[in-house]
Amino acid sequence: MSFETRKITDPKTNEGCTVAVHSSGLKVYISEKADFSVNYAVFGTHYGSVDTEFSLGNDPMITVPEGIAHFLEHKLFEGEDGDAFEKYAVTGASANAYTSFDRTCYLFSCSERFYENLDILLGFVSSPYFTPETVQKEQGIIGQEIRMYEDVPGWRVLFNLLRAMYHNHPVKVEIAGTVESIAEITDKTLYDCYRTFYNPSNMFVCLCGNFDSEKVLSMIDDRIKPLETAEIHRSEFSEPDGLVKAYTEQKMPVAMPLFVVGVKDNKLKLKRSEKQIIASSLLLETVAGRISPLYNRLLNEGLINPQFGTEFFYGHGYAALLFDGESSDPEKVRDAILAELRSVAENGVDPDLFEDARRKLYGKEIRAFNDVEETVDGFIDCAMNGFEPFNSLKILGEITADDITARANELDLTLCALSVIKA
Amino acid sequence: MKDAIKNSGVSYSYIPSNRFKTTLISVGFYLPSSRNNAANALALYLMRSGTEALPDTYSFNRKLANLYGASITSWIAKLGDCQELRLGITVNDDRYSIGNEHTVDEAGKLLCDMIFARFLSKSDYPAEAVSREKRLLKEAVASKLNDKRTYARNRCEAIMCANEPFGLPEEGTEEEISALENGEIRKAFERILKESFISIQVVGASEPVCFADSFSKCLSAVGRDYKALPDDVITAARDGDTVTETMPVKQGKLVLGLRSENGGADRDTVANWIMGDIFGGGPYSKLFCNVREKMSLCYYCSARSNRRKGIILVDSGVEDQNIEAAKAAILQQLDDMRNGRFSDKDMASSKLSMCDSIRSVESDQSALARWYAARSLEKSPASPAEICELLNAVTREDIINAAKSFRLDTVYVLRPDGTQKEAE
Repeated sequence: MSFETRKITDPKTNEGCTVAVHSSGLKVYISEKADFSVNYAVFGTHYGSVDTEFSLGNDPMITVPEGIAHFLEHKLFEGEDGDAFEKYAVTGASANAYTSFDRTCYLFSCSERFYENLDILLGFVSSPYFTPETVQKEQGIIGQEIRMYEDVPGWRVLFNLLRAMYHNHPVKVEIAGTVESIAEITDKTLYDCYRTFYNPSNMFVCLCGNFDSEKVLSMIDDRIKPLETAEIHRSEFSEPDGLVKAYTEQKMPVAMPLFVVGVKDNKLKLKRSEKQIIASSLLLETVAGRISPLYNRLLNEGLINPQFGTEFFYGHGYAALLFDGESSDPEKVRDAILAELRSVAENGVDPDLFEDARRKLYGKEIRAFNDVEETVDGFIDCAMNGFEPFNSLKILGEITADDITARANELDLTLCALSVIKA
Repeated sequence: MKDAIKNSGVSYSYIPSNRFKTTLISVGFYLPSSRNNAANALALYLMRSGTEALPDTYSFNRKLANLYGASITSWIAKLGDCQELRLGITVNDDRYSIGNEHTVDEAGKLLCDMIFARFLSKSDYPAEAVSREKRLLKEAVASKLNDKRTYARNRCEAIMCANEPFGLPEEGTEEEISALENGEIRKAFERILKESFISIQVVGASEPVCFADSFSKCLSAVGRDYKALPDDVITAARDGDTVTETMPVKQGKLVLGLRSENGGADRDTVANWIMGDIFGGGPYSKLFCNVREKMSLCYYCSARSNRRKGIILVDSGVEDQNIEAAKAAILQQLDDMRNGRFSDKDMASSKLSMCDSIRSVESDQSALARWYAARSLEKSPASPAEICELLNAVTREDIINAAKSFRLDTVYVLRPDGTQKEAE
């Protein structure tokens, strides 16, 4: 078989995995769980809604309509020999797909007939079939999906924030695009995007469950053929460092105001190590996580509820710390968050608090192996970012409170935007 | 699995499994749905907020983090005409602790303290905790407006079942929560701990004996006065009330409430389950294939069965101009089911998909606990394998008869009021 294969075992979790790179460049991550009754597989590509300007090799840069990655995801389920859902209906698998800012993933879970399902997955993702008629029909369905999301306040509040933070970067555009942008999609633009991003060298297969790794690799070897490839150049989008505006508001029927506070993190927008990502998560936990004095103070002052959460949000050309929730006074919450970030930068993190945050994250990393989906999601992150499986546990053992304080000092707190949805 | 305690309305199951890194301990309390729902819900909120020894949220959350991020889960739901209040803790097993701590026993003790400590020591929660949890419960109730799909489904259910306990909101109303006084909260604790049906599931590599012992001791100290749960109200469909409401939204919601007199979550109703699935379950269903894919009338259109109550809710997101056409198309699909216009392939797909999902339960810790929790309330509970056997034995005739037993009861329409402008 044309694979370079490594086996990794981790004594802390008693877990292991096989990492293989196919001659086509396809990355494969496999975790065998002999005692599980469920199997989960994802075939994905490093291609998401932000990839709207790109070139292949020496070709000139091209611009494609917003929302095309998501559109392509919908269309790929339809093949010349029938719909992928119809094929899964014969095996009983539960199948789906999703497109995010930086990736498109096709997945199934099943308890039986795993190899048949894997064959369906590898088959339909590798067999594009687009015609002007089927493209037109999909425009109607996706148009309705876009309108549905327009009524979802939690979605609107995030994209309003991204529009307040980003001038040019397409992260500010809805993943599904707009009714106008998807109207520009043709079968030809779909094929252009497919040829660029669905080359196996830009893709990954991640699996977890009760099956034989060797057989899986052999099936992939049969199905996936190396294709001519050239380097994909993704646009940098000349994004200015500053904000578009510091406050944005929209009226919608909601019970109480929804908000997201975002701090634009220019330091990590282009490159970031796994340690920097973990440090950012620990910073968020100590500043505003459930264990933080700030979270509990705001909760007891009536300014937030358990919907409040944090996220380190990043991808190609963008990074931000996000704090979202519901509040009667979002501006007061924003000011409190900024004061706390400032205090950590100036005075450092409380060592006991840091230790509890680290234990919490360590426990969460171990717990992820309870679940086939979470295990696979971890592999996808490895494939997308070039991380090594299980390395996060090692980093968590070594990281210090000073690393968190240093992370706080890298932030420019003037780059803080607030998005609010209220009735 | 063994049933260790089965008296005075308490069911305890330990489900051994080496698959997981964690142990899950989940305790459910079941009471008849009533105007007490708000008080009961507030009592659960207070339980989950801390313990007598760790009364403030800060010290309680720090303790959980120190236990390697042990997580508390709580939910309040309707199960037929009952209110389900559930509180659980998931903790990493001892073997994954860095300092050889006994994490599972500690978590079990914490859960017992959350549930019993204040009641047994007869100490009220601090006033600030009560007012905070009241606010949080009210905000949780109010925020149901935000998700229009769930909101529309809840409205349909409330209108359709206005004269049954099932029509009551599981967490009460904002007004009921605001009006709660300390005496009512104390009564709610007494009701939950003394009178409810209690169903406990423990899933993990080894049984935390300390937890079972502590829980039994606390229950003895409480003094049980178990009141058996009443049977669910199962009633014939009335003739199609249509309720239309408007809101500043862009896309409308259409919900159709169907009823059958053949309810109850037991072995006799598995045909209803398959019927609902072929009608509007997975992507092979008639609603998905026809109303969404072929006719492009809605972005989503699916059916959800509540077997206990003999109810199916069909919900869809529809552009305003398509509401009538979508309703006609949905009812046409139901008519097709009644007249046997579904293929053997449809039937096979549904059985395969349902059995596949049921078999997957064993590899999901919380699904496993939920499975045994649901079974603990049934008169003749079946294992996942038995349920698959029953599903596979369902015939075309059974499905047609099941479809014939469902009639349209209530239609709920949420229409755009025309004021919602384009996003900035």
